[in-house]
Amino acid sequence: MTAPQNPITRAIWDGTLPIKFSLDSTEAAALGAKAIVEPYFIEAPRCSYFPLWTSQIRKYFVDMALNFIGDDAEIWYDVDGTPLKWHYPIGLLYDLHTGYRPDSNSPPPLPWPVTVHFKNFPADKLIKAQAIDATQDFFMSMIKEADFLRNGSTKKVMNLSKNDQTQLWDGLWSKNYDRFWSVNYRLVINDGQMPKNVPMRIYLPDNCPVIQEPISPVDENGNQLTLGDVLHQVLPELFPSPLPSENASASPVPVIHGIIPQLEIPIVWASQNLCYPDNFLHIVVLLGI
Amino acid sequence: MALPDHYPFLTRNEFDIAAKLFIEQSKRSSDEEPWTWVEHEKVKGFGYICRKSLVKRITPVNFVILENDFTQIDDEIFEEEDLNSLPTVPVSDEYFTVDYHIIYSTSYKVPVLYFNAYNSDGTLLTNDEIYSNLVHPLKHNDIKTAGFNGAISQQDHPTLLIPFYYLHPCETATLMTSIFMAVLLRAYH
Repeated sequence: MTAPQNPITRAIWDGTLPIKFSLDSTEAAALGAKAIVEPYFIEAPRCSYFPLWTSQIRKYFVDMALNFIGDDAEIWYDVDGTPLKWHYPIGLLYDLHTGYRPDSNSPPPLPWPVTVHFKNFPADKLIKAQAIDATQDFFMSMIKEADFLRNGSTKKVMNLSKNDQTQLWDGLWSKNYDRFWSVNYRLVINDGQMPKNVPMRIYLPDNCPVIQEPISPVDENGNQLTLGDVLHQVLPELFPSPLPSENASASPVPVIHGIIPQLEIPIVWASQNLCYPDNFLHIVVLLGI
Repeated sequence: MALPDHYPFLTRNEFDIAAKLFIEQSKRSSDEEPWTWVEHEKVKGFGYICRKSLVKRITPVNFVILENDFTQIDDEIFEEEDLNSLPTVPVSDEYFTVDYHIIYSTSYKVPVLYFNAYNSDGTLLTNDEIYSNLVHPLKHNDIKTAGFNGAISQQDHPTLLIPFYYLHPCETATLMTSIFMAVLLRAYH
């Protein structure tokens, strides 16, 4: 089954990030690596998740004589000492942890350097779970939550056939756009009905809690709100106006999929076209340069 | 009886008011630690209530006794013991600490129970240990088969951003409606 043609969702689906995985050097010695182990490079879809790459990364390092017989769930990743939440999409983690502003003059920090760990899982900071199955559960519970936000119930997702539910995850896992979007399209378009709330999360710097307020896509008169309206409503101090600031580079910007979207786009349109496969619009707010 | 406009769904403000009233109530019950209100250190609007409990570990020896107790106690899943009446065996082996947090879900618009259970050395209890120690044996099957992957799983704590176990909130509204119906019925008779 093919999905309806949409060049935007297609471009987002095809978006990738080159990542450089290096071994933690003290761990490498403890795990019997005798020489310096060369890093491993992959080009991962922004919409993918780290646990889907773990077995491939593990195989590379074990083939390089790393002595590791533990479970895949023991393997974790960090950037500059901060453990990466494996249940966030890879593109979101990159935007969040590099803090790279696409409008800056410096080149992006690519390939993205990520450290792989085979020991000392930080259970106080990261959810410990059986790698791929747990990722699927997280993914499906996000889709369910998005449905609840849109409709006040999870009926649309729960009423999907078992086959369609499986197809969402399988499509993502196997990087099959048509498989995923032919089902996801029905959820995101919401049978043409205006959603009650837009499934979205806003990420701020400095370990602030993730902001997830109920966001109505229309004002009290039924007019559609723009992305700028919503940011102004939720974060009035960072976005004192719903319109772009004149001094753009000194002002905070929203980043989605590594780009700065126009503030004038309707929030419903943003939700339907720019959401991650988990149905959420994940917006990273970066402060002025 | 006054109810919030959209009960069983609550606004964050209604949750805050109810939670603070609940804290006052918990202070009046003498035998347990009262609940307390906690705010995020920097950002407003992420408050929640919490309470620590010391819970006796269920071992194969005392399991049978506890299982019998379960059938007699309707709404308490396990007994929390008075700290002063601890037995002479070392606390570290017999008891573990449970950190209960009740947090408002902005998506589901209901209170959500988050919890973590720690051994005396600070390590977390495993998923299996949580089921055997904190969940009524007769409910294991219902809870493990609810939703996509059981009703109890790990999630980031919305305020602290660290892993916590939580009871999935998608059926909480239904539960809250049934509690209110029970209260109404009792008032009626």
